[in-house]
Parts: sequence; C-alpha cells; structure tokens
Amino acid sequence: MHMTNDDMDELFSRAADEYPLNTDSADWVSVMQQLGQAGLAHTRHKKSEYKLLWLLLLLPIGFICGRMSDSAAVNPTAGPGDNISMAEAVRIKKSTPVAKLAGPGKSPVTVRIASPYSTQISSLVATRPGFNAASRRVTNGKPRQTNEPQQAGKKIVSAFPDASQRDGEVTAPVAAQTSGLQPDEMATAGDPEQQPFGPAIINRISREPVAHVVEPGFPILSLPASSSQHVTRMTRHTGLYYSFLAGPDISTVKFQRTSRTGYSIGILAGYRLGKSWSMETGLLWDRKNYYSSGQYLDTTRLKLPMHSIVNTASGYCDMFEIPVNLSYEFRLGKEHGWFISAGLSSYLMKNEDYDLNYKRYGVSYTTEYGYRNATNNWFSVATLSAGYRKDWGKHFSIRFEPYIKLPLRGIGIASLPLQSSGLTIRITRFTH
Amino acid sequence: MEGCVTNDPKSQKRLYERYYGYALKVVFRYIYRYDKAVDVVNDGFVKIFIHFKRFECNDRMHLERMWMGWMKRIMINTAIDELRKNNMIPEIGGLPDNLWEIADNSQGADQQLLYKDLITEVKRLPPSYRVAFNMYIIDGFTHAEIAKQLGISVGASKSNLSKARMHLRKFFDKDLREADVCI
Repeated sequence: MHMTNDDMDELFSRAADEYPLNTDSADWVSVMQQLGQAGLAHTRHKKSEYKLLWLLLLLPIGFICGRMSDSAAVNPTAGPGDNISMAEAVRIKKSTPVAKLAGPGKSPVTVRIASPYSTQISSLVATRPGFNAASRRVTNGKPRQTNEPQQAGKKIVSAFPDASQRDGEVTAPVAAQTSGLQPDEMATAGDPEQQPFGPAIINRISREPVAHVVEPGFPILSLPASSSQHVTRMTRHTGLYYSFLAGPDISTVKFQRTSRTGYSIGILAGYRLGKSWSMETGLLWDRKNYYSSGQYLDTTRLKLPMHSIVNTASGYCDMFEIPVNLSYEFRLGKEHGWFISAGLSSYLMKNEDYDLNYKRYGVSYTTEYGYRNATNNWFSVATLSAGYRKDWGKHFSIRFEPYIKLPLRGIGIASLPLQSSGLTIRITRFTH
Repeated sequence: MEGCVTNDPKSQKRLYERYYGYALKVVFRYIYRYDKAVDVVNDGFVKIFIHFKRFECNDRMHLERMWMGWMKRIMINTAIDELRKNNMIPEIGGLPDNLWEIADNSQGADQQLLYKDLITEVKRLPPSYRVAFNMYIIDGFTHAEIAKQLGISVGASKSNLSKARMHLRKFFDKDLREADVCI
C-alpha cells in the first residue's frame, strides 16, 4: 500500500492526539516550589486576609446614630455657666419636676423644684423676643402674681419666696443653690420663715401627680403623671437597633459526618414593633465547610467528564447571607429575657469549592472545581433560633443565640441540601 | 483563569491538573525521555503562571481553544530550548512499556498500538528532524517560524522535514505492508 504524504500527515496528526501515554506523573508540589522560588506572590491570599475588614467600617454607624440620639439628652456634665440650646432647656426642664401644690385654702401654685440649671433656663427664656414674664411669688402662703416688664438677661421666675433679684444680676433662688438635694430635703433649705409650707406638704408634693402651668413665653413643661422627682430611665428599649454578631457554624448534608467548623459574621438592623416583637434584617458573611456522599450532588452544572459518577465531595463555600427574621421576647426582668426567632435567609454565593472523588469507566479520579458568583439562592433557607438576652449598660445588650438553618431548596451550583447549626453572639446598640 | 491572573494557588493547581496530560503528550513528541519530558512540562507551566497576564482572549466562545493553543506554544518552545541546551544530540535507549496506557478492548487497543508505534518512530528521529516534523506536520508551524525558532534557514527546515518523511516512510513500507489497518 502506498501512502501519500497527505495520508501520512493525517495519520500522524491523529496519532499525536490519541496516542496512549501514561499521564499520572503530575507533580504540583514541584511546580509550586518553582513558583515560590520565582518569587510569585500569592496576592489573592493576602487579599483574602483583608476582605472582611470593610465590615469594620460599618461599626461607627451605630455609634454615630447613638451619638445623634444622645445629643438631645440631658448632659449631666454641663455646668450652670455652659451655654445650652432651647431644646436642651426644654429637656432639662422636663427633668425638673413641677409639682402642683395645694395649700389649705390656697389656689394651686405651681412650684418648680429648682435644679442647678434654673438660672440659665430662666435667662435663656428671658432673652426670647416679646417675652413678658409673669412671676409668682409666694409670700405668707398667698400667691401673688406680678406682671412686670422684664429686661433681657434678668432672671424672671422663681417660685420660692426668698428668691431675690437685683438689676443686672442673675440670682439663683435658694433652692437652686441647694441643687443636688432631693425635694423633701429642699423643703428645709433656706429660711424656714419664708416658706409657706412645711416638710409634710413637700413630701406630699413629691408623691402627687403633677400638672403643668403654661406661662406666656415659657416653654411648655410637662411630665408624665407617673413620674417622680427622680429622672426615670426607660425600662424597655424601643425603635431602631443595630447589632454586630459573630459565631461558629457547623454545616452538614443530610446529617452525614461534619467537616471543619465554619463561621458567620456580620451586622443586623432591626426595629421593635411592640413590647415583645421585633423585625430585623442584615448582611452576614458565612464560611461553610461540608462533606457529602455523591448521591446528594446534582452534577448537571459541574464540569465533570461524561459518564462520571461522584463518590464523595467535600469543600467549602463563602457567601453573603441576607436574613429576614421575626423575633419574640419573653422578658424575665427589666434587663434580661429569653427570645425565639424565625425567618428566611438568602445565600448569595461568592466562592464554591468542590473536591470531588469520582469514577469513570471503572477508574477513580480526584479533582477540584471552584466557582465564583455562580448561584444566588433567594429565600432558600429557614432559620430557627432561641436564646438569652442581657442588657449591658443603658443602650447595649448582649445576646447568645443558638440557631439551626434548614434548606428549603438545594444550595449552590451542586444543589446540596446544606443545613447549618451554630451559635452567634450578638452585641446590640439601641437608639432609644 | 481569573484566579491564575491573581496567582491563586488553588486555581493554578486546578489548571495544572486539568491540562497536564495534554501538555505532556505535546512535549513527549519532542523530548525522547519520559522523565525529561515531565520536567519540561513543569518548567512550561511555571513559565505560563509567571506570564499568565500576557494571555488575552476577547473571544469567550473559543477561550479554551485559544488558551490551549497558547499553552501548546509555550510547551513547544520550552521543549526546543531543552533540546538546544543539549545541542540537539540524539538520545539512545528504548522506551519502557509502562509509559503507555493501552485500552482493554481489542478494537481500541489495535488502533492505540498503531498510534503508539507511530509516535515511537517520530521520537526515534534525530532531534532536528523530529522537531521539524512535529512543528510542521502536527503542530502547524510554517517553515519560517521553524527556522526562526531553531536559528536555521528556511531551506534547512525544509530539508529536515523531507528527511524526516523519508525515515518515516521506510517505517510504513516495512511495517504497514503486513498490518491490517484502515485509514
């Protein structure tokens, strides 16, 4: 048989593609060593060390929001000489109880139990344009109202008979000078002869519900009926809150053996809907490690050669998790309680790594596949949790929350029925 | 691919394991000894990973084909560099049987035995003839490219190819006369 050059060329070309060479001699370690010697830096590894740092940028948000809410609160460190805004004056006044005093046969008199801020509050009020203050002075048990045009900068109002005024000066009433005393203690301050009411009445004042008197130009003072002379603290947090959480995670497929422990870290924002209910959502970064036998893998979207049968699979996945949860709290006391929570989570896969052991025509192979941004599993996981919450200071609480996450659908590119359990520790900052 | 651009070890390893067999088959046609061919392949992959950013492909549909073409070129250049280091001196000695992986079924085995014999004959060619034959007939280089790669003239390249064909034709005339082969 005589072969032409073309026939020969075609035969050799085919032989070059299909000749049977043993290719099991791969030595990745040797290549890696040569790459290391060549000074090839693993920049991605370095990047992975820092890729979570951006979450720290979100932490100041909670503090800033808290600071904004704190700026309208009473500032106990402000001294009488400090400038305060009208808003602060109103709030300070609110914290200064106003009692309705009913002496025998006397018309009700509004008594303000003075605080160290009375002086500046009054002067601040006096500087409002058009202000024409009325002062009440109690002398010999009879209230006497005088209407005097006042000049700006002068102290206007004092309910205590021994208050004195001098032109151009601002003089605090005696009671104001005894700041820091409790109201029943204030009753004994100053000249007893000037006081139309004794300690017994003062004590009754402290327990009576208060009314408020609106005087022209004065900010409206009002206190809840149930308040006492003490500044009361809110015993229940309401409104918005922010949380930072972290904790370990163990994931399994159909309760097979577990792999290494993963983790979950992130931030949540929530809103209290009432006394016990709250709703929250957030953004978490999860690392879940898993192991599974091949029967639970959907290989449709994996890049396996045809007629491959997967024996085992292991690996990990990194993802963003977006939870939406509803929570109910059973309060045991003012500062702690139990809670239960349920919700749905979405997994947005960033990295999926599969170490596969598979068989093809009776020969076993091991290979590794990785996928990036391959799948988004919206509302595919049901979350159940219960735990314990303890208040920590005025605005914070700490929460221990064991959870379980059950898949409603297959997760990831291989549609694994991945379930997770773990514990998160959460620090929450309330805005109110 | 993206992982290899950023020197991710996992991506590099996956790429290496996936295309190692193909690269070894290319290099083994040029390098006589198997262990030497393995070293050349590993050197080739090191070069690939170091210069990975130079690989550009705007046609996503044919990404793998273009990538394999680029990789094949680097492997061939690395093999030729190795041969030139030894001054194209022919190597002697037989090839052990454990290098080959023959299928079990009889039909495929015959075909594969033929292919194995053909490649073995190519490997037995003197290095300069072997390179010319592989580059021109199997890998599709032009004589100008071959001449530039080897530092020879175009005429010398053509001459080497012609001589390679003569050697191989003797093999066909001697062995295929008795073989039952369908082409």
